[in-house]
Formats: sequence, C-alpha cells, structure tokens
Amino acid sequence: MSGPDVLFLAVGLVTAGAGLLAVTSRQVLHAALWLVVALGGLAGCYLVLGAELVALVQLLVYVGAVVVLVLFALMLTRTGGVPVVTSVAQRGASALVGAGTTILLGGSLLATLGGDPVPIAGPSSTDVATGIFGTYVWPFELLSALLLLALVAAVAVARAPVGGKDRAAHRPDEPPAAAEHGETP
Amino acid sequence: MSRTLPGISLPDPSELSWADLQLPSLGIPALPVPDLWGTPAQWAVLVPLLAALAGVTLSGRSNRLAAWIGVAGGLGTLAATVWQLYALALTPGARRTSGTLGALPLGELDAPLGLVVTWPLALIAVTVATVALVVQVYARWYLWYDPRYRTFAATVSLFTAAMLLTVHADDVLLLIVGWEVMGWCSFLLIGHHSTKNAARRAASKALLVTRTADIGFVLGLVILAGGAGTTSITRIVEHWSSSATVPGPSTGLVVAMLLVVVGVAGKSALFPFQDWLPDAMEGPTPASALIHAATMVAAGTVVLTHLFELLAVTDPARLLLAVLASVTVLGAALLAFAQGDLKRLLAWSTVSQVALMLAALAAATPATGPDAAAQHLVAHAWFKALLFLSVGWLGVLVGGTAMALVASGARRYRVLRRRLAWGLLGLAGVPPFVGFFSKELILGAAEVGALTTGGVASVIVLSSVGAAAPLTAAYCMRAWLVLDRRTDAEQLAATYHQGGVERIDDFFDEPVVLHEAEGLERAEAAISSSARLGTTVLMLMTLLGAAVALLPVWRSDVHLNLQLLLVTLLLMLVAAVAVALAARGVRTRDAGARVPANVSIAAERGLGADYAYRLLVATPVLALARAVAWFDAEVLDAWVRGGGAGAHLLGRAGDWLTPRRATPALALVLGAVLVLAGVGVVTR
Amino acid sequence: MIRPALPYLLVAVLAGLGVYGILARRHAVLVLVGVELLLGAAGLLLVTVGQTTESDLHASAPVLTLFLITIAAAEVVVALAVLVALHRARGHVDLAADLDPRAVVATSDDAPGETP
Repeated sequence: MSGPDVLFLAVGLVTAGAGLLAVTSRQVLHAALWLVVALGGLAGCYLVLGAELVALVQLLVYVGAVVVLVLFALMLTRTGGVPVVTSVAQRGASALVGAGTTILLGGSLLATLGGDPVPIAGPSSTDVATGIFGTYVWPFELLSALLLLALVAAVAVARAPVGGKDRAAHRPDEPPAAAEHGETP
Repeated sequence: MSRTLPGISLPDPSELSWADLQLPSLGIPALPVPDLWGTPAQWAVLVPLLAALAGVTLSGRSNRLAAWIGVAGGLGTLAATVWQLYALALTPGARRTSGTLGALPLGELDAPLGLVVTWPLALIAVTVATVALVVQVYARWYLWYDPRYRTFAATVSLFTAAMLLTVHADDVLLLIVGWEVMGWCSFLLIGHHSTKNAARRAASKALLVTRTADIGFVLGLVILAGGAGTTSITRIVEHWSSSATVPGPSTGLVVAMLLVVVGVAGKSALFPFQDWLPDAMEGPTPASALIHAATMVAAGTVVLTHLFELLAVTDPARLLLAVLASVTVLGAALLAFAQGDLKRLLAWSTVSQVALMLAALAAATPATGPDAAAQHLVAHAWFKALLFLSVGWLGVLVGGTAMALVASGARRYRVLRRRLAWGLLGLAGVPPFVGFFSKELILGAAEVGALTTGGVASVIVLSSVGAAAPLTAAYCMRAWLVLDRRTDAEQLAATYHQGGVERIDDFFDEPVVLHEAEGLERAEAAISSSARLGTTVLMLMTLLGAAVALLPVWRSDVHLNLQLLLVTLLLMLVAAVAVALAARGVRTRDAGARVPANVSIAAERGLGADYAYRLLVATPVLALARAVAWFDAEVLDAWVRGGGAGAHLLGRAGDWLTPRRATPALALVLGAVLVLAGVGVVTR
Repeated sequence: MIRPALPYLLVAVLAGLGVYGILARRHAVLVLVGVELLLGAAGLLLVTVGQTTESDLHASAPVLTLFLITIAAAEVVVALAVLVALHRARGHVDLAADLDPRAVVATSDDAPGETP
C-alpha cells in the first residue's frame, strides 16, 4: 500500500458513497447535491492520478456549470409530489442490472489491466496543449461548434410551442400558475 | 388405243398428263429495271404495313384521305408482288430469299428472320394483293357513310401485310407474327359494327376459337424450331427430313405436325372449329370477302405448303388432316345447301372449299407436291371474292341477303347477272372456269396418291372430294335458280301470254321494260365505277385465271384421268338437274325449301355447334376456372390471410409486451445490452 | 506507484451506480444524474488508462477526457431543454408515466385538473 494507493482509496470511497447517495436519495435536491460531491470526488481522483488539468476542468465545468444547470432545471420543473423512485420490482431489476454492469466491467477490467503497481506517468500539461491544438485541433473546433449548436437548440426546444399550438398559457414568460390554472374553469 | 394421224400426234387419253395441257414456257425479256432498294418480298410486306400506319396516324377525320392511303397502299402492294413475279421469272431456280430485320440474338437458337419466295408463293401473293386492292376500292363505296371507315381501311391494310408476311415468311417467328396479327385483325374486321351484339359475339367467337387452336399451332412450331435449333423454315425442313428415318418419322415430328394441323384446322375452320366462320358474316361484306377469299382461312394452306415436306412424311398428321378436311368438305357442303341466307351459303361453301385445299395437302405425296392446294387457293380467291362482293352489292340493292329477298336478283339487275353466274360456275367447278382446273388437279393428285404411296389418307380425300363435287354443284345450282327466277312481272307476262298468241297491243309489256331499265340503272347507279371495275377484274380472272393454272411454273407430274373427270362432271350434272327438279313448284324456285323445316333451322344454326362448344369446351373450362378461383381464394389465399392474421397477432403481442413507459423500456434495453456484453466477454 | 485495480474498481462501481440510477428513478432530472455518473466513470477510465500505461503518444487520454466533459456539458444543456419542454407539455417530468401520445393529449386537454 503506497501513498497514492491510500489517497485514492480514501477519495474513491467518498466518491462511491456520494454516488450511491445520489442515486438512492428520495429528495431530488439532495440527490443533486450528492452528485456535486461525487463529481468533486472524481476530480480528486483525477488529481491523485496526476491529471491536474482534467481535474480542474472537471471541477469548473461539472461542479461549476452542469450542476448549477441541473439545479436550475430542478427549480424550473419543480412540481412536488412526483414520485421519485419506481416500484420495488423495478428497483430490484435495476439493482440487478447495475450489479451486473459492475461485475462485468470490473471483472473484465481487473482481469486485463489490474495487475502489479505501476508508476504514475502521464503526459504533462504541455503535452496536453500540444495534443489539443495540434493533433486534435479539428475535433476541438468541431466541439466548439457543437457547444454553440447545443446552446441554440436548447433555446429553440425550450421555447417551442407545445403540440404545434402556440397557446398563450404555455408561453414560457407566463407564470406557471397561470399556465396550470388558466384552463380550469 | 393410240391412234396416230399423219402429221398430228394425239396423245393417248389414258396417258394424258397435266404437263401436256400446260402453256409453253416463254422467255421473259430482261427489261431495263432500275436497281431498286430492297427486294420485292420486303416491299410487299412493308407497303401495306406503312399504309396501315399512315391510315391510322395521318388520315385524321378525312375519309377521303383514308381511302386514298388504303387504295394507294393496295396499288403499291400489287406493284411489288407483280415486280416479284418478274424478278422470279429472271431468277434461275425460281427461288429468292431475302432478310428482314437481321438475325435475332437468341443464344443457341438461330433466328435469321428471312423471307422466301417461290412460284406458288409469288402467285398467291399476287392474288392476295389483287383481292385486297379490290376490297379496298369496294369498301370505300360500301362503307361510304360508316363513321369507322378509316379504321376499317387501315385494318384491311394491316391484314394484307400480315397475310403477305405469312406467305413470304421463311422463319417460324415471322410466321407466328403474321398469323397472330391476322387473328387480331379478323377480330377487328368481324366486329366492325361494334354496336351490334351479334357482331361483337361473332368477333369474340372467331378470336376465341382460332386462339384456342393456335395453342396447338404455336406449340407445334416451337417443337419444330427447338428440335432443329433454328427458326428458319428451310433449315427446319432439312433437319427433320434428314432425321426422319426409314421406319418412320420420329415421335417429336409426329407430335409437332399433329399440333400444327390442329392450329391450321382452327384458322381454316375445319371441323370441329368450323362454326366461327359462318358467324363471321356479321362483319361488313368487304371484310368477309377479304377473310374468306384470300387471306385468313387460306393462311393454313400456305403454312402447310411451307411445311409440306414434313407433312408428307408424317402419316398420322396426314391422316388427321385428311379426316378433318373430308368431314368438313362434305358436312359444310351439305349445310350450305340448307342455308336460308345467300351470304351464309357462301360462308359454308368457303368452309367446304378451304377444307378442299387442305384435303389436297393431306392427299398429296412427295411425288405430286403441294401445288394443287396452292392452285385451288388462287382459284378460290378469285371466284369467292367475286361472289362475296357481288352478293354484297345485291344485298345493298334489295335490302338483305336472305333467299327470299335476293330471289330474281340476277334478272332484275342485269349488271350483276354475269358476275353472279360466273362466280357460281367457278365455285361449282364447271369448265372452263378456274374452279374446274384446280378441282381436277386435286382429284388427280389424290388419285395419284391413292394409287401410289399416299396410303389411306389419299383414299379418304379422293372419295370425299369426289362426293363433294356434286354437292357443290347442287348448292350452286340452288343459288342460281333462286337468283335467276323470273321476276313477278315476267311471271305475270308468262301467265297471261302463254305463247303462240299474236299480240297487237304491247301496252302490257311496257311495265316490264321499264322495270328492267330501272333495275339496270339503279344497279349501275348504286355502286361506284371503281368498285364495279374491281368486280369486273375479279369476274375476268374467274375465267382467265384458268390460264394461271396452266402456267408452266407449277409442278406438272399429275396424271390426268379422263374417265374420272367425265364421271365427276356427269355427277355434277345429275346433281344440278336433281336440284332443278326439286325447285319446281316452289315460289322462290328455292330447292332448299324442300328441306324439312327443322333440318333447315338446325343447319342455319350450324347443327348446334355453339351448344357443343358450350357443352364441351366452355362449361368445363369455366368449371375449371371456378375451381382454380376457389382453390386460389380458399386454399392459397388462406395461407396469405393466415400470414396476415398471424402477423397481426404477433404485432398485438408485441404491442402488449412492449412497455409504454420510459424507464421499464430502458431497463429492458440496458439489460439486453448487458447480456450481449456478457456474451461477448464470455465467448471471447 | 499505484495499483491500477483501485481506479478500475471505482470505474465499475460508478458505472453500476449510474445504470442503477438511470433505471430506478422516475424523475427525469434524477435519471440525468445517473447519466452523469456513467459519464464520470467513462472519464475516470480514460484518465486511468492514460496515467498508468506507457503508450500514450499524443496525450490522447487527457484530451479525450476534456472532450468528454465538453460533450457531456452540451448533452446536459439539450437534455435539460427537452426536460423543460416536457414539463411545459405535460406538467410533469415523470418518465414512468405513459408515453403514448394519445394519453398525452388526453391528460393535457381533457383532464388538466390532474396536473397539480
């Protein structure tokens, strides 16, 4: 058990625990917050593995942007009373599939790649920069286009009229209360 | 027996040969003919075809233009066939071949698509072209007010093209094309008055009956062509002739020739297919003249002439043909006698005469050759076209062709008298008209066949042809007695002036004279001068056509039996006298009135052939069709319907099994992916 | 020196948790949480392979992980937009509800009172 091993074990346990809580918590908001913890733990894992740049980006993008977006979405679609988990039978089946995934993936990964301890020797940040702006420059540019497209598409989808009919009650600028109670006589 | 006068050597009558009667062969001067493009055979087929196309496309709404196109096409065809005669006379060996479209690429099957012409074929072609031209001219008058005249003219042109293609074809494919196009054109022509139920029915009947027989025809030709590996008729004949070994012809040849004979029997209206031809009288008279005289019914003779060398060595086919033709010759002649309508009488006489041609082919041996049939074809074309056109003319004048209506027709309309008389004389086979020569040739050929190697077929044919001669004379005599009955005015005059009374006042004669003059004028005025000229040409050919029969281009090794000839003529005379006696005392001088009424009605209905067709063919075929339809609907479709129902059930099951909610569906998908991945990992 | 078994084990656990989260949750946002966990497992796998093996020529592992994070961000944006539209159309984001469009019409037009 070397130093990195211990460190990784600790961070990994935090990450796995937070992930477990994120998928089992009955409170929607709690689940989202546990996701923050899990993703942060993942960033810690990256740090332990020596990929500092990736860890920072993970923190920035995921914890800083994505999770905020998720929270916003939770607030926008706040309905309350919606059951969060499925029936027991389906949860059992889901647990079976999840466990199967873990066993299959873990088994095959450990059998092929998990062996003796190896030194941590990743590419430096300079190498990463050279890779992004050299070898992978065209996919990188495509990615920027993808982000723009996703932005525009998100706006278009979120503002589109419902069912092809542009009802005033369903405009996003209408208050949700009016949208919900406007039709009831 | 042989007496030799000084200076003149008379041939022994018992050894008189046909060759002694033939005209001397004359040298044909080589005229400076410009080198024309194509061969006359090609032009003979192409010109009427182009005329038909032009008639359909160019004539528009103009009857005049359609008539010009039709007549010009007919003239061009005639010119091509006459040119062909001339070219043939200059050709050593008297055989010309030419191509058409070039060979078809049919793999192992060789299809050169060639045309061939020999003397009999060339003379038939000239006859066809002449009759077609006369029919075109006549139809312009006959169908003057017909709204569908333009179609009629174009169809006649197409019909002519098809017949000439059949005549000239040296290729099975071309033969079938011409044969089938003729069948369709006959449908169009017979059903010309398409608003009449009877015409539509007759057209469909002609099409169905001939088409049914065509199954045999096409199958037979396919067997012949397939066995020989080529569609060229010349090479088919060579192939099968060489394969016909000493014990007898091969089975394939026998089957093929039997099938071909069946097809020919359908087109030529032999028993048991005979009934479509009299019904075809529903077509306009020019169409009847064309179909009956020179083209469609004679096509079978032409085809068997092409294939004669195979027919002559195939005894079963000859026997079948002889039996069918003999039954038809006699039966049709008897039926013709009992008809109450002059046109139908002529139709049945056509059935009889065409059967006579085919009987000649059945009786002929390789030694005598098929020329007797071709000669009778040519002769029959002249007098039958003349008779049909004249009777149609008479029918226009008196308003119908029933015996009661046409009575005295030949006396009231003097201009028709000679035409009808000559036509009937030619039909009866009285010397010196064409019918006499061709019929004697057939008798001679049958006799030679019966005495030498012809076998039982020749004997059958000889006896039936011999028996048919007096029958033919009988119905011709009957028709003539009716046509030549004294008019009412003449009868009255005969009643009141019983001879020997010297009359001073000829006041009572006046109406008679007026009647005659009026009849003459009406008859003259009723027809266009060109159509009258056409019938005149046919009339002259009925007499002068005998010279054609005597041309030295025919095979001449037929022995003439003068005793047989005299006996035949005597029988014909006896029959005619008997008919004349039977006609005495009947008001219309119609010997047919002596026939019992129920027999007469049965004869007019073709002895219930319709009923027989329905009972023996139509009903079983319909029953079979219903059975097939039932099988298709109830058995085969049941599987299809079952498939549909099964798919529907499967779909319902799938619909029921498929979750309509997102997360269970996702669970199924991911579970399946997991299973697949597990399988991948395990089986690696 | 590190044992590569540990990160790989975490990858497997995170992936299993993500799958479970996707399947066991009805709320669409929580399903998305499961998806994020799955994507995180993928990123960790990439980084682990890149840091513990020698044959990384063009720094592919970190670069691809960055790409992955970017694509995940875009995906989340579009998914949340769809989610908002879904909410506006139905009044709920319950993925275990019937997805039959006829049922949607029935609930949105005929029985608006069911939506709280």
